[in-house]
Amino acid sequence: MGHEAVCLEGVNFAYASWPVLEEVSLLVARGEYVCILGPNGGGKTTLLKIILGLTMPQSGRVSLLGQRPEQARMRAGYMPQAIQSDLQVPVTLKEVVLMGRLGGGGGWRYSRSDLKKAEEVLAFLGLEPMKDRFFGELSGGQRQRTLLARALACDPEVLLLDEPTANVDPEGGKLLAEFLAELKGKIALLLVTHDLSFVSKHVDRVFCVNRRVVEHPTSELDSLSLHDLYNEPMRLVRHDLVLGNEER
Amino acid sequence: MNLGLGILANAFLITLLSSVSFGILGTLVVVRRISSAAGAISHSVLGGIGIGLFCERALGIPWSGPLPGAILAALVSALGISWVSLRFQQREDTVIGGIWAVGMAIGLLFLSKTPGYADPMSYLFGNILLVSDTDLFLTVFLDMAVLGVVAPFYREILALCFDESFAKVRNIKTEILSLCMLLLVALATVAMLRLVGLILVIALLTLPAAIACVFPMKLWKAMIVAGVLCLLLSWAGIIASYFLDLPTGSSIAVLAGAVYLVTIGFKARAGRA
Repeated sequence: MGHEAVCLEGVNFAYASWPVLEEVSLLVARGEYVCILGPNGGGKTTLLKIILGLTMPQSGRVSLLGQRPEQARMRAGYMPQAIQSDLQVPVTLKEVVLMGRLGGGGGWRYSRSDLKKAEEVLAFLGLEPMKDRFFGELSGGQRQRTLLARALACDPEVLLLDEPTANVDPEGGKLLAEFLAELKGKIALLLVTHDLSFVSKHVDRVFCVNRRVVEHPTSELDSLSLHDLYNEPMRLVRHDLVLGNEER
Repeated sequence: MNLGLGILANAFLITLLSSVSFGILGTLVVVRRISSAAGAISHSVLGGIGIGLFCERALGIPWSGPLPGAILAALVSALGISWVSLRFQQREDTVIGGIWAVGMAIGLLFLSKTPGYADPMSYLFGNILLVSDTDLFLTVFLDMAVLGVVAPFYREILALCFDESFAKVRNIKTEILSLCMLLLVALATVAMLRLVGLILVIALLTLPAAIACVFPMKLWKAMIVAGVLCLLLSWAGIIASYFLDLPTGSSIAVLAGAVYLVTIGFKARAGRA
């Protein structure tokens, strides 16, 4: 078994004739915490879907945990954007988390070990008290934590997160970042976001995606590269200082 | 085969039998938002009926007839819609509308060229007098098929309805499950064709489930509530149509629509209070 969690080589994807990703190469090692930044419509979600084998690139090579995505994706945890899920579907928080245990075989009941795993994850994320509430009734932050819980219930070796802080208040976002920091080193984390505040000291490497993917060592993520990415002058917020204050 | 039951007994029995599958399928149709696909399937059944009758009477094919034609047309349009939604997602809505209208048009064309008397009205709006033992057997088969698919794959279906991409990542065969749902809806349409007709069958499929889904409850509970509502509404409709001398299918559909409106009205008032 190789040591890479995610490996993309020369991946091209176009939607109709509209190029979304061009010549994307990306290597994420096991246990690494990687952040992928980019503007809306820059191909971030597509990138994750390609890694999971949900979308087929027109060319290039994709491997997940050293295998083809379809073979390995059961060992990955996927936290899609909350807007992707249907809030009208009558499903409880616990039922959502248990979906992370699916794929192990038929039957209409979850096994005892599946239920145990779900309880563990619910406790870890502090969702126990609201586990019987319906997903549609939860707040934005609670929904995101539920989707993270579902991804963790998969017992993942690599965790892929799509805009985890969308529709979450700052407090909830901080909470989520703390949970992710706790996972660091145990599993590979690949987080896609347009929220720059997520690039904390925990993140090992930062990539920027806007059709092309460029790696930026975190120290060099300066106004110049942000300008490249967003095509307009951006001001860099020095989060290292903010985090420093919190630690005191 | 003839069970020798009276017309009313047949009607009561077929609604009792079908409320099992209609409760389950209806809830899935509502939750998965495939009412328009279900509508297209049920309407395109007229095409099959027309072709079936034409082949039977004009060409003298003995095994042909309205029922085999209806089943075939329902299954073909379910397959067609599934294929289009897989291949050309952006055009799904348009194609559903096309299958809906073209299916009906084909039916009317063939009926117009079919010798003898063929009344499209009874297929469109149902006729309680035409409910036969064949329909009863078809309904029993439908119930078994629905339970045989939904019970073992309940968790997978719930995951599919909630978030299809995640279900795929768990290697759930979402395309096959979606197709099975549509095929079962297709069969359900045909089973209740004689009683409520192909236009009104959507009311019986979706309205009881829509009423159940007004209240927050787990999916399997909503399925049971929808099934019970389907049964009560159909029986109330049959009784009303008997005493007031009204068409049965329309009575059931109007009653179901009225109960749905009253329910969301009450829900809205309770929400404001």
